[in-house]
Amino acid sequence: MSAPTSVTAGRLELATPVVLASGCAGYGDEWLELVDLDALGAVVLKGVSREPWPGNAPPRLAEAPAGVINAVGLENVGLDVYVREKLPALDDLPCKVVANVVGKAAGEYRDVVAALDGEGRVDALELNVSCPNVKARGAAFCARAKGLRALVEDCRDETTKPLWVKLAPMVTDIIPVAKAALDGGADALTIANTVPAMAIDASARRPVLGNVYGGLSGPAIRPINLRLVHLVYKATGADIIASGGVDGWEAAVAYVLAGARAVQVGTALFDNPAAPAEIVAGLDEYIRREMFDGLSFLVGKLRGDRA
Amino acid sequence: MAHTREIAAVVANEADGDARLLRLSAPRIAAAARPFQFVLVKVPGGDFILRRPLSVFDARGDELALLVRPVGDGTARICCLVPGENLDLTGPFGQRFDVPADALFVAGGIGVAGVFFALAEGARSGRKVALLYGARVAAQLYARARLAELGVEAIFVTEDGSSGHKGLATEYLPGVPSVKDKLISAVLEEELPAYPKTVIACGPRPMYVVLHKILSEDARLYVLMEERMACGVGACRSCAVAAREPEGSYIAACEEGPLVDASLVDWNRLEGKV
Repeated sequence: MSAPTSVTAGRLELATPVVLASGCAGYGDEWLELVDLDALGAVVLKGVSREPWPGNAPPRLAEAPAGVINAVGLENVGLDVYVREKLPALDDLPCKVVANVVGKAAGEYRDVVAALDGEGRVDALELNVSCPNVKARGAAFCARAKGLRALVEDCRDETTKPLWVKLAPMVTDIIPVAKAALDGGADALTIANTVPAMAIDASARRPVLGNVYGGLSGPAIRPINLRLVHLVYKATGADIIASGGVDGWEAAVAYVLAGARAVQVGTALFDNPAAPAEIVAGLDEYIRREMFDGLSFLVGKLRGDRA
Repeated sequence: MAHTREIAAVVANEADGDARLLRLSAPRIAAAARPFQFVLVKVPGGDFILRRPLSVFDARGDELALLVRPVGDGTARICCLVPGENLDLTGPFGQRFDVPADALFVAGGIGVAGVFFALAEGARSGRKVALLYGARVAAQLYARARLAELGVEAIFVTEDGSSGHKGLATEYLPGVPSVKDKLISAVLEEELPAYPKTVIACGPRPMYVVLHKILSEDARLYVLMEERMACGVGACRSCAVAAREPEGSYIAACEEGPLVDASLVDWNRLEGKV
């Protein structure tokens, strides 16, 4: 029998439901000395684009109530260095590795996915579809269901590995967007990315972030993303990896009850690098106390759900 | 790299001008810490997600010292800790750097926190160490008693002349032809290394810009880059410093710095932010 906290999400078997979120997790080896990687089901690496991206002008970080706003701008080394230097450094990592893919055009996503399909260390792929699409005059790929489906189909054609699609939270209706990703061939949905936000320095009368706008993460967005997970689970029954403000086992259980099979932890690492291990221990204790056979039995099992 | 998390006990919290010197019992981090490195300090009370990056002011035996000026809610809470209370630390972070024997240190205000450990190590090992130290007012010239105790050759400068020479520290850099008061500079040359080949600076950004401009090309300038930080380990890329090469790229201050070779910095992009 498998361990009570092991789960399968989007065709990927995870030893635990705790996954390090893209961006915060770097290239997988930076946190080695502070984060107990044995507690993790997977690490989602920093988003990789076909060419290197320099990222946004600093400051890239602003503190917010119960959260953090970042405007790093997906700075990354680009596909070549990623494959040549970053992936080989992960041979000894005890958990699964998920590559997060970013791009400014559908062809860029496709090229990166095709290249990573042949990389043995990559266990699954996650598409970040919140990037501005150059062809759609900067609108995010996930803003239109039709365009998103085509993008996911393109990527699906290039890989047999599990394919996750990370959706943006700020859409008029997330259900058609989620369905488009699933129709395009996604094995699972990551719900959701950061919430668009800004901060202003009252004394300086300036935006805090060099990029003016950024993405809010942390407990502040948890109630927002929790509702989105619930909406999508009810409408589609899809495999969902929840993301947004997971900083303890209670938050993880809430997301699982709403319909998620696994949770991503990102911002919580900054406050508490032991958060992943503490969440797994807390989940384990919860499962034993409530006498469930395993976490997967709890997915979507919300009581009194009249929505 | 030897990053660790340690719950440190506050041994003492001493006033130093408008700042506080926190002496902590943190054996593991104190043993690992080297000059110019920093720790990430969890703000007591639990309302802040981001830890505060603070330079290792000094480390000896089991004791780690942090010089903290209350500039915001987070640092204010850290400054309020009393002996016996605990502080959650991670670190030490950042690169090590071997100080050349002829180095001149330049500090501005609370920036002395970033260079004191290096000065102290030099002085304790019997080397001659020199510091040009400027601040707005006398109350913001910190650690003066400790610098004197160590025998650091320090020149003090305040903007209002309330202590030491009047003006900006950069106006008193010895051997620099563009320095406005050549007379005073000539006097100082007897006290400081005649012409510094290496300058290590920690202070406000405008000070770095001036140093970069007035130092001639055969002097090497290193600046301690303080940026908003989240992870400390180079993962999140939040603490970006504009880099010269490749064009448009950034240095992660936490992992590649925080002491950065000024010749690697894109000063044109950085100056726009001063």
